[in-house]
Amino acid sequence: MKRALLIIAAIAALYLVMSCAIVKPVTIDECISNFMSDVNNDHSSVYKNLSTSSVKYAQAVPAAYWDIVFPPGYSYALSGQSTAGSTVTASLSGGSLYPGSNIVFTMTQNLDKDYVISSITIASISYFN
Amino acid sequence: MKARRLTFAGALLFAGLCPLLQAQNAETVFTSGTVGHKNAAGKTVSLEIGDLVRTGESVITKSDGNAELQLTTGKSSIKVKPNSVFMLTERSVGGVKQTVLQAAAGSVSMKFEKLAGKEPLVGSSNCVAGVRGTEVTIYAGMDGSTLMAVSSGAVELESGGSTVSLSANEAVEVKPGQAPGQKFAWLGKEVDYSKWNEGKLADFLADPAGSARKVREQMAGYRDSMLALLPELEKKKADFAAAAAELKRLSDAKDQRSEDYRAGTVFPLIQDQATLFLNIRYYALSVLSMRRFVLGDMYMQMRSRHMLDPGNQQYSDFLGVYADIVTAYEASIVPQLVDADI
Repeated sequence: MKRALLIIAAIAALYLVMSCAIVKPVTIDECISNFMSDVNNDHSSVYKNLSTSSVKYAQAVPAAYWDIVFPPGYSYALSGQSTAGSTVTASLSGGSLYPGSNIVFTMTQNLDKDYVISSITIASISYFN
Repeated sequence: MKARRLTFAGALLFAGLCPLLQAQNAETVFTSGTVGHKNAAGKTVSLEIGDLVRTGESVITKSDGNAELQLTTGKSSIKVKPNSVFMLTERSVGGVKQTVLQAAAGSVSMKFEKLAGKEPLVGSSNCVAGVRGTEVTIYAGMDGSTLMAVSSGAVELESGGSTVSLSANEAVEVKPGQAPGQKFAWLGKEVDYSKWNEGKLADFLADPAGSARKVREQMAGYRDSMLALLPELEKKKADFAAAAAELKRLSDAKDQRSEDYRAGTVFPLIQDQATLFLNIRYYALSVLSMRRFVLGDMYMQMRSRHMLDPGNQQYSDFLGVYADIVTAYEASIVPQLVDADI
């Protein structure tokens, strides 16, 4: 009996360790949050949130491209974020440049089941697809 | 490997968006032998039936490989022959985005129906052509030459600043860095690509330095187009900086004109910068393609033939031109590239 309890305890401990080691896929909200964090802090990492299958992926990798879309010197934030299927809509604020401009993300899942961004439109202008 | 075929049936996905905003993709309907699919991140996997080849991606066939793709908008088809590289790219001309179906190496046949909106452009590393209701085959030679043969329809091909129109059963050869040659009658028989490319190899080996100079000329053309855009981009950046400052002044003053100024002046400047950046990257990636598939092949051909006599005069002359190309490439093109491109 004691031996059986020890075995069960060992299995439970192993399961606990394994649960901690399993990486859950990135959700839509997490992807958008990571994207905005990179927009504000590190343009060279913005591309990591994008779908490699999108048309402009290769062109949009450089940080210099995101310096154009999100010029440095502003603090960018989203409000009123809503998700319908694979489309995320929000209001983008960024000083006098984007005073609540409409921003639309189209999301897709990569092979790891992580959500990534396949297109971005700001004020009806497509900057990534 | 046993050939596999899928009869392509069912509704084609048409996004309903303006074709100018939606690039075209291609679905794989047939593969046999060894066929690779390189995505925009540079990772290559085996191409399977049903796989979608998106803009920025390539299909690479080995000596036993064949693949057939269909554009997802319309009924146009693309056949990638053995030892070939097909690339689906995009470029912007006058603010209008167009898909470019490119034969980077080997032989690629394309058949187009009339498409809703903009037809794609076709081409190779040294020329681009507009097609309409056309069946065309493109052969890309190891020396950077292109042979374009039209089976049906019409093609307008541009290279070296000159344009030639091809009708059914006409073909033209374009050498790198030069205007199209004289067009000639082509009776619809498939060109024996191996024999044609052997001829290109023979021409190359007869004058390797001369062939490399022609490639240098072609790459210089792309580079010059790219370099011409850089100051434009810098100017747009300066204009944007001034406009952004003016916008801030109007906004801080709660001036009612700020909204119109933002939409009419500031946003177009952001869009112009983005378009210029896209075009700069297009030219840089075109040079990368020539460097990788044409010049790289030339270098391997020469190196493998002169491993035991590196002092050979022809080899030395070729290396001189090669070094010159690589120096220019590293100085002007590499700064426009990122790790994922290479």
